[in-house]
Amino acid sequence: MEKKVINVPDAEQLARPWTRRDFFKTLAAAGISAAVASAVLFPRDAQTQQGGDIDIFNFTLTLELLEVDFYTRALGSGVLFGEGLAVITNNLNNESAHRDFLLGAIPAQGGVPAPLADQFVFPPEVFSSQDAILQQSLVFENTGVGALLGAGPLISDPSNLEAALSLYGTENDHVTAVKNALGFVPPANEAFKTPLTMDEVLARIAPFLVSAPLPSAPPPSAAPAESTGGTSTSTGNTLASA
Amino acid sequence: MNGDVSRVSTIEDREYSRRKFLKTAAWVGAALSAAGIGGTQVFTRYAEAQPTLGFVAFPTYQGLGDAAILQFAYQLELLEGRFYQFGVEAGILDDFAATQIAAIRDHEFAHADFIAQTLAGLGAAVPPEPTFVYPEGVFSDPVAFLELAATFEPVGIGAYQGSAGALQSKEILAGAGSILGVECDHRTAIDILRGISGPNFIPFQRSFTFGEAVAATTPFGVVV
Repeated sequence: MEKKVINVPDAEQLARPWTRRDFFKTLAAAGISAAVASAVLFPRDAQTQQGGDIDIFNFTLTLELLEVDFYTRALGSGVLFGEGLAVITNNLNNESAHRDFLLGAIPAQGGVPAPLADQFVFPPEVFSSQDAILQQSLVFENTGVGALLGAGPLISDPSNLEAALSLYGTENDHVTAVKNALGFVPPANEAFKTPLTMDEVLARIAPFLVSAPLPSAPPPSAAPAESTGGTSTSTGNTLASA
Repeated sequence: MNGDVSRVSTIEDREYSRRKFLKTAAWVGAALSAAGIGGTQVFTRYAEAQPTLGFVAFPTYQGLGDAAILQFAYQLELLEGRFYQFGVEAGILDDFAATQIAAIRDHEFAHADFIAQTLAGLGAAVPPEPTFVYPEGVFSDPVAFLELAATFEPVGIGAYQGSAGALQSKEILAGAGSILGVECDHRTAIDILRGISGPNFIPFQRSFTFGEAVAATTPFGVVV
């Protein structure tokens, strides 16, 4: 096998110049309103950021919940088989374990977890075939990888950092397993992982967020019930009761 | 699940079984407990009957300093890179495996270059490449080769994850995190080559203490 020339980045490129402030300040640019994004990412009764590592854990929790919801529906679609089924099943189990970890860790550190249910909508076509599910899974998993890699250096407590990296590593496992199920040759095909900013993460997940009506920012007229691909469509109540 | 895959470890005192990996959840819980954070109850269903494994949260990388951590990581990357290089050159792998192992080889050498560049930026010495010693027979038997690969990758993962909290520079931490993710890709890909269906079976990656990482690599020539 011929050696491939790999462009080696320098440390500065991988550690984009973020501060906590940079990471959290620009919610609006992702195509959904800052108010809605904040309400989804941070609990209703603690809408201002809770500070410390809790914001990052809550942000991570939201991504895990999105994935758990997606994989639960994917397994319910009946279109999965063989290696795809094995990989998606493991993805669901692992993301569920991550969710449970965060649901324990956030209150243990004095935080309020992000709302649990009814936040996401998926267009039906993403569940139309094994290939569609795996392709969407790859997007979500790569988003999780980039989000955790981006947030990692902003975590202040070393125990929390280690835990976040432990979850992060598994998201990478998912990426490779999904690529393999999709037929990538070779499945492990990246020399370096690239961090994402919060804006970049939001841009990827915004299409799947239910827009909840908020007193301060009424949502656009869209009625999520019309466009969901799944069973849960409630909106405002979820956030209000969280 | 994934069936019984026998792992005959070629590293003397170290054998990584899937069972052990699945217990990592208990470690995360233990780490949080040690930090006074609590929340271990969420792990009970994963940790089963092993509530205390004696894992320590951040052991032993503290005080080494960024340069020493990177100098160790540099040798680890070369240990892996040369191993994969020899595996490809031996011609024992099928096309799919050879393509994947060649890519992994390139990644490890790129990581070594990245680390060397970072060390230079710190004004620290780049260690000379050690004389590596690999077990007899690993380059003539694809099964033995992949089994050893399956023990190398978790060492890299565990060392990067275990040392992350001790790194002073956030930039270096970001770089180490980037590499850590790729090592996880590799671990998964190696298990794919070993015929494991659903190779994404580890909910929480495990950290290695510095002592564990040293014990797992010095028999092959890594110098600390």
